[in-house]
Amino acid sequence: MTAPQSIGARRNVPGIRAAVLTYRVLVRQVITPGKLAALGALGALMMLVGWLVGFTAEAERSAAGLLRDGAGYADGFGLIIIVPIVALVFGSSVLGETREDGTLVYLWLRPMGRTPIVAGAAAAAATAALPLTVIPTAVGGWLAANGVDGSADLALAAAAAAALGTAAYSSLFVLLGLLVRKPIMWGLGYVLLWEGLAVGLGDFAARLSLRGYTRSVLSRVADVDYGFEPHTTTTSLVVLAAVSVVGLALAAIRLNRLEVD
Amino acid sequence: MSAIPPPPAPPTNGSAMVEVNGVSKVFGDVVAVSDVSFSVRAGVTALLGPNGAGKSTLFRVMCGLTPPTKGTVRVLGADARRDRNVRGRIGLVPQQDGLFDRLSALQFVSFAAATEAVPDPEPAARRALGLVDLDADDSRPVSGFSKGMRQRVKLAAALVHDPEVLILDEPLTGLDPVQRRRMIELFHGLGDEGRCVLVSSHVLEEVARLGSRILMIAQGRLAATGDYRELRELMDDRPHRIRIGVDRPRQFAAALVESGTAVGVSVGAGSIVVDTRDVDRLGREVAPLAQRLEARLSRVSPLDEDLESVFRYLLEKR
Amino acid sequence: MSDPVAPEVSAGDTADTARIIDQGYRSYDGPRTGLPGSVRSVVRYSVRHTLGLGRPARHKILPWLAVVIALVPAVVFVGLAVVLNVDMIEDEILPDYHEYYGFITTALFFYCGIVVPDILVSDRRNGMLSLYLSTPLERWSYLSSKALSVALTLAVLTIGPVLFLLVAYTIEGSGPDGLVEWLKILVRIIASGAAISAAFTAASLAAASLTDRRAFASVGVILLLWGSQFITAALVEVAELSEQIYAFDLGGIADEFKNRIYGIEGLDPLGDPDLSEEGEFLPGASRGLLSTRFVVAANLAWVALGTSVVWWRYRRLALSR
Repeated sequence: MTAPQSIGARRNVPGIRAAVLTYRVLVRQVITPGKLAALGALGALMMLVGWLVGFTAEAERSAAGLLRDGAGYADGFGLIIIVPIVALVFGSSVLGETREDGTLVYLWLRPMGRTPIVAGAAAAAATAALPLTVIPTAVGGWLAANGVDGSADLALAAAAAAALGTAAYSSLFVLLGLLVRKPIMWGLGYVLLWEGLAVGLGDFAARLSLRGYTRSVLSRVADVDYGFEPHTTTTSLVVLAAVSVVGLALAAIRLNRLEVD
Repeated sequence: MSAIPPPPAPPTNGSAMVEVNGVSKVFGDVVAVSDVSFSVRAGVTALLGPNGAGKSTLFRVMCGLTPPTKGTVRVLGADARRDRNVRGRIGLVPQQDGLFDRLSALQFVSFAAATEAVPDPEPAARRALGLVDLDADDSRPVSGFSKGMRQRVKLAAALVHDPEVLILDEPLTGLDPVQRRRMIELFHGLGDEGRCVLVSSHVLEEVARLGSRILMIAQGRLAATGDYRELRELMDDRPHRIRIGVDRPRQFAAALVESGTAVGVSVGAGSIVVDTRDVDRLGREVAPLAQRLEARLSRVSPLDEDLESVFRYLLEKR
Repeated sequence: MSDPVAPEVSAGDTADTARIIDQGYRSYDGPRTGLPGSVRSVVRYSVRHTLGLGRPARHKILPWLAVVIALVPAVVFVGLAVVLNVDMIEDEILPDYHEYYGFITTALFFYCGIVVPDILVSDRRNGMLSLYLSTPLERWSYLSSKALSVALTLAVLTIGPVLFLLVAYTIEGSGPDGLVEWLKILVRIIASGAAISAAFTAASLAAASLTDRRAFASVGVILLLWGSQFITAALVEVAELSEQIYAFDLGGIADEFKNRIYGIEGLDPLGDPDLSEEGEFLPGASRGLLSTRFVVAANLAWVALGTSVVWWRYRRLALSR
């Protein structure tokens, strides 16, 4: 080693570079064969059951009826179960696990801003989660609609809804991973109790759940009415985007105040 | 204790690189660090203390990883928790064993270099891995490394950006004796270059090799600072213990007690162990006494001038 | 451990009296309670651990949240019964006993998914399993103790709130007519709770035995309970495949078993099997068409499957420390 020549020098990693570095290391950490196999199998199951639903549809069933089946299926299995669970697994662990295993210090004690670290982590979580949510939801919905006219639009709408939902949930769960120990437990509690139960308590509670907005995107973009009163597309997009951004902003603040082991 | 004499303490006329003022850290009902103040200049300083004394907490506070409940910490004049720039001038070996397990050593240290804003991360990483005797071309993920290898990867990551302040929490854990010796030499080299190297350990032998300048912490409080040989001199309520090899031990012992130089003597075959409160006086009297008694002296050596003696003394006081 | 020979030190002791006050470690010579004592200890500790008793507040939140979710509706209904002072069940204003299980389902999912897996996973992760098996406990008795502790805590959710309703309705005057009817309802409440607890215990312990990561076990249990409900509904109500597919819906088939214990059979009066026109699936709408024998067999199969998975996993488990 040479004598330190940089005493007093400013060292700083630019924001984008910090985000890219964080992304590159965390995307490798967060994607494990076990998680991929289990969650991939869940997606495959959704597509298989979707195919069975579409395949066994009665011949006299109308195209509109099949589209409603497909939308209901993409919503019920994809948006309500797969999207939050997959986002929870990757979102909560991307920084949460670094906190648990002590590797967060290798990101935290660096001349890097907190926002780029959180952005890179969220991007890593989304990279892992998106294929596992978007493909099954879109393909499952399309198969359940048995490929009738409009099912391509349905698949597109399902993909958009799943992608937006994954981004918003991932953002929330990245924050959760920094807020509590055992974030998956708390996240499952949120998904089950709030997204699954509390939204049935009334309109106001429903407005505070992400599920209402993701299914609204599906319904509006695919132009399929399947038994609920959706929010407008603009409202849904704004809310989902806002949740994504605010979640990350709060995560950056939390990371800055965190006590790192 | 080690047969290797400790290297001399580096010159202390530089300015303080780390300043800790009245720092306390409380976790719930547990006071981990209590009202600790000290400053550290360039060179190697050992933070010594038993397990659970608060060494790691103090290091975490110094690095800004956790805020102090009370007091202030300045590293290179800044608060590492608030000042992003100063974080890039600290190299930390944390106590935790965790590494990004899917990366190879080169990838991990290159990542550390890149996140420390080193312009050419990979060459820097290769250099740092060379310093800790690791093969940069070993493509295995670090998850397959032994404890000692993982420890050296952490060291390389802490060194890769040429930091001015190195904070090393039990860095020698898991290393074999040869590696320990190599790493200690490395720390001294870094200290001699003008870096502030703070090394924690609860192993006295390690600390004795690291140098004579110590910060000793026990039960969260700073028990002593400075050169441990000087600390021994300050332990004036405890007699010094000296072994004298002599062929007429009984007569020699009796004469020392009679003269009042010794406050206690134990006699063995061919040697006596003398407890005295005045080492200088004993030193002056030994040779004339031997001459007067026509006794042959074979050796005079201190028995409690070592770090262990100081350590035991300071802990017993609690 | 008690110390049968420890000397007592009195204020009158002096240094002249030769006494050994503390010998340090000694072997235990007192009475031993054997296997029953070990089982009792494991059950007691596991129940306390699961409910967060004697642990910091953060460990109490999740299990007690499940209890609150299961119990709050019952408290509200009883409050309504008292305030409105009418025969609630007869007038179909308040839920009948068997209808109350709908309010418990979410609490059960939550409890089995989030709380139960820790009961097996933590012992494997922290080395307690080896310690347990160094006592008179063997693998089967250890697992039985764990299953018993889960079933007991689950019974708090499955039996507790309905039992509360029975007592409260009875006091309020809306309870069953006569002692025989009252006892009949009591037996149904206990039998239903036990049946549901057995199926859920077996499934959640099976998931917990398959992974050393509590979080993965939790996700697995939730997906099993929640996902199977939706998938079976899609296949039966929309794809119009056989109702027997409902055997794969653990929550649903356990609920149907409860219906049969209460003597309820046939199509759900609220259910419309052709709901696919509305695009919404009502899980279990045509579950009532299954024969009682099939429902009982399906429940037993879940219990047997869960038990087999746990036993298979633990029989092969190598203990490293």
